Amino acid sequence: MEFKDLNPILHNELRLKIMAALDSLDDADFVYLKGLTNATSGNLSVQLSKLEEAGYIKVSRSGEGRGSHTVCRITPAGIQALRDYQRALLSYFSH
Amino acid sequence: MEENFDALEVIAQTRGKVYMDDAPTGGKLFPLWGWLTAFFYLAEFIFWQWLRQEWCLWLWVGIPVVGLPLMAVILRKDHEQAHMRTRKSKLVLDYWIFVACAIGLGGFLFGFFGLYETVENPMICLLVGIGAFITGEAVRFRPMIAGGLIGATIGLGAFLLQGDLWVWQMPAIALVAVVALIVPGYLFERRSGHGV
Repeated sequence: MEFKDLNPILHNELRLKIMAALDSLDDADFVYLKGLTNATSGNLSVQLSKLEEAGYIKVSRSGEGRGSHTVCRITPAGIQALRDYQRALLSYFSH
Repeated sequence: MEENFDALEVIAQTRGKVYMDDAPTGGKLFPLWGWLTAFFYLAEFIFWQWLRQEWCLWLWVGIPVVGLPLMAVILRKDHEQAHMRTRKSKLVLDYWIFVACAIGLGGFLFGFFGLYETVENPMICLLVGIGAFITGEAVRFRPMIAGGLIGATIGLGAFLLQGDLWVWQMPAIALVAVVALIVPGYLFERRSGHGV
């Protein structure tokens, strides 16, 4: 019996929450994701950067300082990675 | 580092939470455009009955003149708060932009070509009714769906108000504004406020 490896980028609770949210949305800003995930600003920033580096989300920043606005959007690669991750998880149950 | 959590549960819960949060600014914009539409079309009706002058039929222009700055203020306030947008709410927004353009452009074109009293007003009722129905479907809010259906039905009925009866198309629009925009808008705002 062979189990598929789980994507280490997605196999993190906070990053998975972010991806699941963005998969259902057209876009979401930093404030919304912070409220949704109950994460600290610092932790959320770090995880968003990791997802962005992996090419799973696109982060657009506008303005500076207090008026700055960060908007996140899932990429096609991110959608595919999330689908693959879910398929891998489900394969655990089907064995 | 190994993570211990129920990944499928996390995905399902997050999606459920996002679905519950999908309460677009429509809760505030519906009553705004509803009141303006009802007010200006009733004013148009009253002034036309009273004075019978052509300019009375252009009072509807006051709707975007007053509404657009007020909407900008509401959207600006909304922008300062947490923001997200579902694909469905984006589609709904696109539809309302189309409605606004169709009503504005149609108002001028039909006005100049003398079709104002035959096509424009019933078309407004129909487009607003369909818009409320689509929005209600997107946010799964029955009063808005029902209001939209009633509004669209009034719109179809308004096509029958021709000849001497055409002036009654104006209160028909005000009625559509009440049933499809104002009432569902306040009910939706109340639902969102209670976090149901």
